[in-house]
This record gives sequence, C-alpha cells and structure tokens, in this order.
Amino acid sequence: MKRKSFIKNIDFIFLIPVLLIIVAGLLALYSSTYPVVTSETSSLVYKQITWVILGLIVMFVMIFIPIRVIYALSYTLYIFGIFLLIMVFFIDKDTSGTSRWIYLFGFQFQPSEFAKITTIIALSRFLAESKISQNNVKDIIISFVIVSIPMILIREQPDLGTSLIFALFLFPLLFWADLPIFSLFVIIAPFISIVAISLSTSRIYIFLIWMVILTIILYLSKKRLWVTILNYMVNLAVGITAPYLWNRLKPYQQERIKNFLNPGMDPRGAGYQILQSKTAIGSGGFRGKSFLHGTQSHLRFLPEQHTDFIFSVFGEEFGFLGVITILGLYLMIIIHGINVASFCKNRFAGYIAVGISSIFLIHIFVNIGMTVGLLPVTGIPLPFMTYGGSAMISFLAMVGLLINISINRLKY
Amino acid sequence: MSRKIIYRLKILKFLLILLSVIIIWKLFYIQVIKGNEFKRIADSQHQKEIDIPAKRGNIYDREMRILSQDLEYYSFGCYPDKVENPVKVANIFAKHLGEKRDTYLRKIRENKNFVWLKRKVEKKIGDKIWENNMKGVTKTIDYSRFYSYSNTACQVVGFTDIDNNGLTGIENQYNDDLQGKDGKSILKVDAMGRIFPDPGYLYKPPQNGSSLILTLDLICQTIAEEELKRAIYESEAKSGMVVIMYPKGGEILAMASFPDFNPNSPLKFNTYNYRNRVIADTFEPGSTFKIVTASAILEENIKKYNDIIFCENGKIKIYNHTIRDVKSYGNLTFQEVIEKSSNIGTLKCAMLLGKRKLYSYARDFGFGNESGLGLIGEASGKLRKPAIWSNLSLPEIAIGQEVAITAIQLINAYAAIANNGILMKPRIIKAIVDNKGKIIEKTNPEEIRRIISEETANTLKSFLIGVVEKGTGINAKVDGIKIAGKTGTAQKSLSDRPGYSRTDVISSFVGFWPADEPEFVCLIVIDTPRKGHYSSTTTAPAFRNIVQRISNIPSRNSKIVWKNNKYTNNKKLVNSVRLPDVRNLTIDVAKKKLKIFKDFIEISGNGSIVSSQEPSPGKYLKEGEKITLICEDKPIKVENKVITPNLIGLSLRKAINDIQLNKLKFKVTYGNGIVVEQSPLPGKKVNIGTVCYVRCSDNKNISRTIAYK
Repeated sequence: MKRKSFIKNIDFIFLIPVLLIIVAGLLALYSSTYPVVTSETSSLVYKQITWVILGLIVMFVMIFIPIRVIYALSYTLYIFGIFLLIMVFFIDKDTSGTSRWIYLFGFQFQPSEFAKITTIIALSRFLAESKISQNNVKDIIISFVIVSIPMILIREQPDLGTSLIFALFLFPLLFWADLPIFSLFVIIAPFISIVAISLSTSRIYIFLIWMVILTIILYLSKKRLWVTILNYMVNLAVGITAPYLWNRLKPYQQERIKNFLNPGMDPRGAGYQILQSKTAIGSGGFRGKSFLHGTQSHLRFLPEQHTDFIFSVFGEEFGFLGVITILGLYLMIIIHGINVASFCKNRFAGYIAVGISSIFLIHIFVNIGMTVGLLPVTGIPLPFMTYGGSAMISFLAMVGLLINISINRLKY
Repeated sequence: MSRKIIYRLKILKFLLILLSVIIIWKLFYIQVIKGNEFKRIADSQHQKEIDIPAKRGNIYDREMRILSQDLEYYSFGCYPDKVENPVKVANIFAKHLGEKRDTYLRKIRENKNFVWLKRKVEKKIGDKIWENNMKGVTKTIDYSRFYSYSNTACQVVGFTDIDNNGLTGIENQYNDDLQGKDGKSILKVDAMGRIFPDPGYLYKPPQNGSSLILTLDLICQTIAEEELKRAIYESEAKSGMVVIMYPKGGEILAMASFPDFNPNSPLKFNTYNYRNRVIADTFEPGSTFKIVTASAILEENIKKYNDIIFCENGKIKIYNHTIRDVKSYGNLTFQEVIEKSSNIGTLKCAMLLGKRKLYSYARDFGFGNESGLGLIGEASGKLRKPAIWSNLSLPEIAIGQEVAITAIQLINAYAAIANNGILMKPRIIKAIVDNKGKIIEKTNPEEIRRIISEETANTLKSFLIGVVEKGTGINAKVDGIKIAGKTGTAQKSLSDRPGYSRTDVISSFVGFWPADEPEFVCLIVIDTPRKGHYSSTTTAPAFRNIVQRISNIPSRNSKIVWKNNKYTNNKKLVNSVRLPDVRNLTIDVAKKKLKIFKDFIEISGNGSIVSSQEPSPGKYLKEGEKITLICEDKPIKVENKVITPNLIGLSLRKAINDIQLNKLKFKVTYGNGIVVEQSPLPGKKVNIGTVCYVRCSDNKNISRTIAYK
C-alpha cells in the first residue's frame, strides 16, 4: 500500500526526462571512448554507470528527507560546504596547479558541486524570511554575501566557470523573491555598462546607445531625482573607469580575459576547441552520422569530448533531431521545476525549486552555448551527460530535492 | 496562486523560451544550414588522400634488354609518439642500414608528428627491417629510376628527376606514356596523425606506365660507344658522335655522343653532356656530302662512271678563289674522282649540273629538313635556297662546305643508297607496350621517297666500295667483308670571322656493309682531332673496328632478326631447359639427345664416347655458354657415385624427373606441390640407386626463395 502510493507520488515529469538524458549521455560517452582500445577509456563507461547508480541512491535519499529537516540544517550545511571549500586549499595541488578535489573514502570529490546545493538551500531559507520585496538594502547585501563567499573560494581554486554559476543563479532567485524590477535593474545595469564599454573599443557608439537606453529607462521609472542621478553617475563612472582599469592590467592578464571572451582569437587553444566542436556538431547535419559513426569524436579531433564537449559528440552522431530532443527534455525539467515552485505552499521549498531550476538552466545554456560557439569556453558540465562523479551525484541529488518538493508541494 | 506569482512565472518562462530559441536557432544554423560546410571541414580533417605511386615503364632495347627501369624501394617513416621502444627501433635500423643508432634515435625523438627514418631503402633490406613488426613505424613503396648500363645510350634514353619525371631524351619525350597514373587511396586520420585503413573509402589502384621498346641494339650501342671513345682518345679530339642504322627498316641500332654522362647520377655532369649531338648538332660535312653531288650527276646522266675528268693538277681558281685537292691529280674517271675524293673533279662536274639540280637532290636526300626520326630537339640544318647562293656556293656545296647538316641526316642519306635509292624514315621507337604487355603502338618501316634509280644506287655503291678498296677509306677495310664507305674531312668554319680554319677539322666516316646486301650503315664523326688530320687516319680505323666487332657478335650472325614475338621477356628455349645426361653415350646418340642444343655443342677429344660434359647434367645453359663434350675412345668405367641434384623449389614432377635422370630412387614423404625439403641435401656424393626423400608443400605457388629457408 505504502509502496504503491509512493510510486504514485513520484513526479515522473522530473524522473523520466532525467533518465532519458542519462541514457543519451552514456551512449555519447560510450561512443566517444569507443575506438580507443586502451583499458583506461573503456572503463569510463562503467565508472559513469557506477556514478549514476550512486547518484540515483542519493536521489532517493533526498526524496525522503523531510523539508523541515533540510530547513533546520540549511545554514549548518552551508557552513559545512564552505569548510570543505577551504579544505581544498590544504590539499596538494594537481599537475595543472589547481585544487578542486577532496578525497573521501577513496573517492575523489569536488566540494564546489556540493556547495552549489548548500548555497541554494541557505539562500532559499534566507530569502524566504527576508524583506527583499520591500527593497530592504541590508537583506539584498546579505543575499549577495551568501553567494559571494563560496563564489570567491571557488574562484581561488581557481575555477572561474563554476564561480560564475554562483553569480548567475542569484538573479532568478532575487527575481522570484519579488525584488522590485527596478532594483534588479539597478543591480544589473553596471554589468551591462562594462559589457557595453568593452564592446566599444572599436565602436564607441555602442556605449552611447546604452547610455541613451539607460536614460530613457531611468526617466520612465519615475523614481526620485537623486536615485536617478546616482544611478546614472554610477554607470557612467563604471563606463569611464573600466578602460582605465583595463589598461592597468598586465598584458598577459589582458590576453587571458580577451581569450576568455573571444575564443576565436586563439585558434590553437580555446578557439581550436570551439571550431572542432562546431565542426563535430555541424557535420552531424539534420539526422546525424548515427550511433558510433561520428568521425570527429572517434578520431579525437574533438577535445575534452567526454567531459565539456559531450554534447558535441551527441550532436555529431544524432544530428539536429537528437539535439533538439535532448534540449526539449531539459526544458521539460526546468519548466516543470518552475511550475512546481509556483504551486508550492512552502515558500522555502519554492525557492529551492527555483534555485535548482536556475542551476540546471545555467549549466545547460552555458555548456551548449559553449559547444556551438555562442559563449566562452568554461569547464561547466552538462547535467546528466558530462562524465564525472561529483557533478552526476550532485545533479541527481538536486533532482531528488525537486521530486521531494513536488511530492510535498501542498504541505506548508 | 497569487497574480504576482503568475506574472513572475510568465516572465521566467518567457526568458527561458527566448534563450531556447537562441540556442535552437544556432544549432539549426550550424547543423542544417551550414551542415554541409562543416561536413566538408570534418572530411578534410579526418580523410587523408594518399598517392600510390605508379611504376614507370621500362625502356628496352630491341632484344628486350632493360636500359631503364623503376626499382622498388621502401621508405620508412615513423610517428614518434606512437613508437613504443625507440631504442629497439633505432637498433634495428642501425643494424640493417649501417648508420649510427643515435641518428635514428634522434629522429624518433623529434617532437614532430611524422619523420622519415630512411628513404629509398633497398627492398631486400627493407623486408628484413619490416619483419621486426615495430609499432609506429610505417613503410611506403617508392620507385627510383635505375639505368642498368649506366652511360650506355645515355643521351638517347635521357634521365629523370627525383620525382621520376623525365628531363631529357626519351624519358622526357615519352614521359606521359612511361609515367602511368598514380593511384589514390583515402585513409582515415585521427587528430594525432595516426592512419587507419578504412575499407569503406574509395581506392583507385595505380596504373603502371607503358614501356618503350627502342630499335637500339645494346651490343651495337656498346661497340659503337667504345670505338667512338677510343677514336676520340687516340686522336685527342674534343668530342664525337656515332650512329648505326639498319637501312632497310630505317632503324637506329646505335646512337651515341661523347662526352657522355651517367644517368644514374646526372647532376655530376655538365649539362653539355646531356645533348644528343647526333640530332641536335650541325656541322659542315665535307667530302661525305659528295655522294649527293655524285648521285645527281649520275642520275641526270651528266657523267658516266668511266668518263674522264681533268682534275687540274690539284689546284683550280674559280671566281678569284683557289680550291685545292689534297693530292694533285691529272685525268681521273668519275669513279676515281669520288674514290680519291677529288674536290676539283667533283665541283667541275657540279658546275655542269647547275644550282637547282644540286639543291633539289640535296633536299631529296633529306638535308635542310628534320629527318623524321621524331626525337625532340632535332635540328634541320642549313641548306640555303639557290636564289641566295653566291657564285662560289655551287662548287662549295658540291664538296660539302657551306651546308650545315646533322649526323642523322647524313647517315639516312647513305642508308638510302644502301637501300637502292629509297630514303627511309629513320626510327628509334620500335613499339610501345602497355603495362600488361600488349602492344599499343608499333612503328613500321616507312619509305619517304625514292631519290635515285636502283641503277644509280648500284653505281654509287661500287664507287663507295672503291673508296674502301683502293681510295681514301682504305683504312676501313676488313678482310672478308665488302664495305662501302666514304671519308670526310671538313674544315671548320671560324667562329670569329668568315673563312675556314686551317687546323680544326671535323673528320667523319660513313659507310655500310655488307655492300651487296647492306645490313648496317654506320657514321662516325669526330670533332677537332689533334692527332691525324684526315679522316682516313682517325674515323676510318674506328669504323673498321666497329665493323669487325659487330661481325663477331656470335648469335647475330650479321643478320638482323625481326620477330614479332620477341616482346616477351622469356629466356630463349635453350636457356630454359635443363641439360640431359649424355655421359657414356656415343657421340651420335648424345647429339640426338642434345638436339635442341645443337648450335651450342663443342666436342673436344677424338673418341667416340662422351666421357664427361660441362655444364653438368641438370643445370641450365647460360647465355653465350656452350656445352663441351669430352670424348674418349676407351669405354670408361661407369662411376657408381652421383651428385644429388638440387630439387628444392621444383615441382614434384620435375623433381622426380631429375632424380631418375641421376639414377637415384625417390620417395615422397609428404604433399604433392613444390619440393620444400630433400634428403640427402643437394651436392652430396651418393651411390647410384640411393633413395632420395622429398617433402613437398601443398601450395603450388610457394616461391623458390622462400622454400630455401
């Protein structure tokens, strides 16, 4: 009886797409390691299957943890996550000079993945109790701080891509927390100013157009005059000082940022990766080259093919049809996540649902955007497809949380 | 649900859809709109087109001896990062190729995708290296041109560059025929440059080039070259050339110039040496040209052979210009004028002939035009039109000055006389044969025109015979062979001012033999001899040597054999049959047994029973070798020991034949194909009647060399 009701309660709109994507990911992984006969690579698929099983176990555990227990433990978990992120620095750096791993019971473990969940939970609890909707500046600052601590620690590992995820998921949560649109705009505007001025190196009018738009928005929002003027001044100041600060940077730092923003400039490094990824996906065409017939991945023209560029492997072999299918499954998860959040009686649980949906959204679009050359190359995994244990377990744990919230959406 | 939540939900979903549309549009753009473009990029990355070189055709002489051929070499390269054991690989290469181990080790350790370890390794050595099965090392087939006879016929055959493109001579002119078409193979290549053969990709096999069969005869060519060199050396001349022709077919049997070069290493020589002077250089012929004048005079009935001509005692003044004879003569018959090569006699007759007649005969003989041989770079010489001749031109041209001719023109003119007055088109290409041995193109004897009547030709022949019998060409005389010939010593025109050099001459001798039914025409020209001014002492003896040596070629018997079935490279019958045992037989019976060898038997001793034979039974007769049978009268003791024959590699049937021939018994232990093992081993002395065990393979195609192991 109990078992029956449990199965009835499980939200299959989350579970089925996730399982389908995992299968697609395993197929792509199998294909990407297929022709190499060494023992190391053939075991990748088995390892990944192990991670999937572990992840599914964690997912089921997450389904059964009562929301109030999570609520009670939220800050403790957050602090524990930060503790793990600090621990990373006391562990020997690996060959590339980065330290992202912790060894736990013989497993390698990436605390930044764990921190994603704990930060969302902590932020959700804080926002659920905050007065953000009343434009409380103190609460806005605190929510920034909650996100900034893990973000800075991860940036120092260094893992720029993952730290940017933290910056990005804050905004949908703030929006969900009913932060007035104008405040959100005020927060985002300076970043747009920086982007505008950096695009204006050759075309100065881009920044001017942005300033005109800014003026119109500020005028239309009909705020008090000093607020308008302050906002205007801040954006102008950012616009003027950014080039100055840029020139103060050492040339190699400038190069690094340029390459990050515009990988095509570096055809042997990130630019090569982007070109190869586009070639793989593009050569797949509408129907794809069919399973195990992808030449670019099999012949190793595609870099990082079982991790960052697993989507390109899939795109080459399954073509446009396969790719939009996968994208549709992801959208199902995300939209359903937001729907669940909107039905949720428990504010805290609703924030978690939105936070997790945002995490999925950001990962998916940053990763796929990278493989098609829309966005810079960052080592951000594609949920449920990229090879790797920490990410797989952490994403499945998030799915578990979503199912949990969906089951309990009518409870306060 | 509050309105606020619905509003937020809508905004979030809108943003989500917007992002999705951007991504989907980008995917659609890459995969569907630009899909084919990326497919091309992908193909260019992982498909590698490899040329499979075609083997260049051979160049043969008329007896199918290979003058120029492609030898198969191996080129070894490696992918350094794929080599598992660099030291082992380097050791193997060092062992077989003799270079230091470190040179290879350095190459393997180079930070490159691919390096050549050694190019153009001989096949035998290459096979041994390849046996080692080294990972990361590749083997490709390379061809390299090889001229087995080095300098022989170098200017005619020419040579190729490192990519096997013909640069000079026939190699150049018939490059398209010889070259063939390279094959193509498309291979899969991965990002590290590793190559994977993929049977699914298209493969185009190479088409090997066609082969050329020349009319040249290697033996004639060698003789001609050697005698030319000797003549040049003895007379301390600058350079020279020689041509031998078969007059009836217009076929060039030998064509050479000196100084020459080695086409296996042409770059070590002056480019001047590459020149085929026989066709490319022009010279003033001198007295050899008198044959043209003489044929015109006889054909036009201006003089008869026995008409008397007064030769002005060696000196004549024409238009304030003095022309002399070498020796002063009084009255001579017209025949004697030619035999003694009197300039004055000849030109006096020519004056009667007139400009136009002389010009048209010279034209008919082929002077002033390309000979029709068809080789690139042939000069047409210089024979001016009578309209622009000066008064002196007629007498000068009559004795072979004031015209510039090539050696090929001159020999072809004499070939016409040898040929009873018919000018033949000279040929050097006998046939073109495709890579399967089928004749694609074949040249046939081609008449150009009849120049003089047979009667006139015969008269001229008798003149030329006289030249050798009792005239200026007496040094060319060979006992027992009737030779017709003509000497020529032309003063060289000065390069810096008009007029002729007193010291520098071009000495030539042209003739044919046997005079009654000419088989060979030969021209030898020597430029600026320092010892022996006149051709009678320089080129005539060289001509004599050539005649003697060609007549001594045993198998030829001084006859050109033209057989259409000679295109196969098979050995002659007598050289492909094992010799039977004729020991202890009477001579008559032995001769019957050796019926097919009847032309090659030499009998020594004066008995009636063959006591021993050389080469021994079971062996093949090598080319040029003879069977010597030693005959004694007393019946010799029958030797009860025999030497075991080598049976390995023979078919079982042949092996049994050999065993029985040697009066042994046999037993087959295994198989029925090719003999791979025998006991006792070959070359052992055993008693007659000993059992010889042979073991055979099942595979009938196993080659002899493999079987030896």
